[in-house]
Amino acid sequence: MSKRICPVCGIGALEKILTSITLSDPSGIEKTIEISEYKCPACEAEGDLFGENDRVIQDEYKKMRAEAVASMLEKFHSKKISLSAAERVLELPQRTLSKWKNKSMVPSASAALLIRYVNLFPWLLDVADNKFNPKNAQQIHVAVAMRDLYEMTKGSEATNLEDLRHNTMT
Amino acid sequence: MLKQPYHDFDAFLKACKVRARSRVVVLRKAQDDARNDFGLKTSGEILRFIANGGLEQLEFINSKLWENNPDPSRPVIVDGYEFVSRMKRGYVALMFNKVTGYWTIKSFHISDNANLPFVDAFKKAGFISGGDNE
Repeated sequence: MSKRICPVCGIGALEKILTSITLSDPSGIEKTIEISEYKCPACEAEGDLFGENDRVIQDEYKKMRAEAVASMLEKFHSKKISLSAAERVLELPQRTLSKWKNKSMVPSASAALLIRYVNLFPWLLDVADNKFNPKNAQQIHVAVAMRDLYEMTKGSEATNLEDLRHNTMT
Repeated sequence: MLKQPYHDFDAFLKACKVRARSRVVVLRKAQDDARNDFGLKTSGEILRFIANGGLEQLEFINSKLWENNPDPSRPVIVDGYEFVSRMKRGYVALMFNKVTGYWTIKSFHISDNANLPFVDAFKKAGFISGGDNE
């Protein structure tokens, strides 16, 4: 038992407990880690009351981020995105993306964010390739949106027609 | 139920700004919710977010007695606030224990009144008071 007094109520002697927390990344990666926390038997306050786990949690998120970026970059090939072209467009030193892909270098939080955006909206590379010209960017955006809308509508129209035909026949 | 916050919020902000030997405690549930609802991964991130003005459009909701207080002879009051961050409306509950000198963040989650414009309208019209946040 720890001799620390509960900072919440000032009465209970804190007990150290082991607990597990699940951390998740927007890419879907999840990790459960074990951490030690405090629990007050008097007021039932529970948690990392002195922020002692912050470093451990941050390190785990860093590892998850590296995994997520590597996994997204793996998919760039199937999306016909060349890493060297992306590096040129994003003004990154050559081989940076490869190093992130094979996890020999850990991307920063902002770098990971950039990859998440490009993974979600690959046309952002075209925007960058046009030197972020607002007019060109708008044209690229609208063209992609129209294409996506067309694809979505095509699918839903077919479904609706099928539904209509089915309803008419029955 | 008080109509004004019991605690000095500026004093709380000041406490959040102190990095070393912080006098602000974040309870487990609040930390989990802050992580899931707002992407604030650690207690340090929560405190820095608050210290840097992250709780926008802060609105006092109510004050209540701390239910788990093991010493009722020394009542501890919990102040509840709603805030906005981008498209999310959140709820934060905090209390200060004069005995220990520590602030405690008891809740930090998406507000139960989030995305309900008619609730806002009713509140502004004075038909209803605070939400059911805990």
